[in-house]
Amino acid sequence: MKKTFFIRPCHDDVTSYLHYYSKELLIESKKRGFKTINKEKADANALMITGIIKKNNPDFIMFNGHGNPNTICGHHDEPLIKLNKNHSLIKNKIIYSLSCSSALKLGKKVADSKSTFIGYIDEFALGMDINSQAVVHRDKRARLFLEPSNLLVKSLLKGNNVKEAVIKARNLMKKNISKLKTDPFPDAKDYLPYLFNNLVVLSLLGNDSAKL
Amino acid sequence: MIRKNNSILVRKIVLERIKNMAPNVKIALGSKGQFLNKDDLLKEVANNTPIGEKIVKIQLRYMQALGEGLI
Repeated sequence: MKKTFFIRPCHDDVTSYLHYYSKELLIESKKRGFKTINKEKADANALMITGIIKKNNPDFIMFNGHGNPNTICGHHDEPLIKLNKNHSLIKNKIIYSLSCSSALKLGKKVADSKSTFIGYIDEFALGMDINSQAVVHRDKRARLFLEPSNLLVKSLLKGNNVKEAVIKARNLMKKNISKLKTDPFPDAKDYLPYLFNNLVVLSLLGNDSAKL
Repeated sequence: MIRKNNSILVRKIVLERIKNMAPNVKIALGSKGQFLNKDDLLKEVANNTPIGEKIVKIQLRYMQALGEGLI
C-alpha cells in the first residue's frame, strides 16, 4: 500500500488557512486507499517528522507552512528540512511543498531522476477577504488561491503523474484569474497580481513523470 | 540614472495601486504569517522593506504581463 504524509502546522493566520484547506486532502487520500499519515499542530515538529519519514518511507509528502530558499518549516516555524543538513531525507519521493521559496535552492538540491519536488521558487501569496476572517470556509477569495494547490494534490492521489497534476493546478489558476477579471466586485482586481504570482512561481523539479 | 528613476516611478505606481485597493482585501506574503491590509502593504512598500520589494516585484510582473497581453 502506498503511503502519503501530510504535515500541517497551525500557529498563525496563514498556517490556519493551510491547515484548514489540507484537511480535505487527508480525507481524499484515505478514500483513495492510501495509508495516510497526518501530523498537525504541535506534532508537526522536526523530531516527529524525521521519525515518521525514516520509519514509514512515504511515497508522497505534502508540507504546509512557511519556508525560505533553504528551509521548510513546521509548527511555530521550527525548521523541518534544511538544505545541506537533512534534505536527503526527502529524496526518492514526490514532495509538494506549499511554502514560500523552498523550491529555489532546497527543491533544486532534492530533485533528481528519482525525486520530484513541486514547490514555489519565490513567495506563495495568499489573499483573503476580511469579511470572512472568522469563517475560513466562507472565504471565497482565499479559495481562489488554495483550490489550485488542492487540485494538484487531488490529481496526484487520483493517479495522474506530477506533470499532469501541475498542469491542472496551473489551468485552475488561469481560470481563477479570468474569473477575477470579470468579477464585478471592487476587490476582485486587487487579488489578481498575487494570484498571477503563484502561477509564475509554481515549479516542478526533478522526475516529471512520477506518479503515486 | 534612468534605471533609478524607473524604480522610483514603479514604486509610485505600486503605491497608487495599493491606495486604490478595496478595504476588505488582505494579502499574506512570505513567512510573516499574518495577512497585511492596505495600510500595512503601503508601509511595507513605502519603507522599502523586503516584503515591500516583493510586492513591487509582484505588481510590476503583473503589469508587464497585462501589457504584453499574457493575461
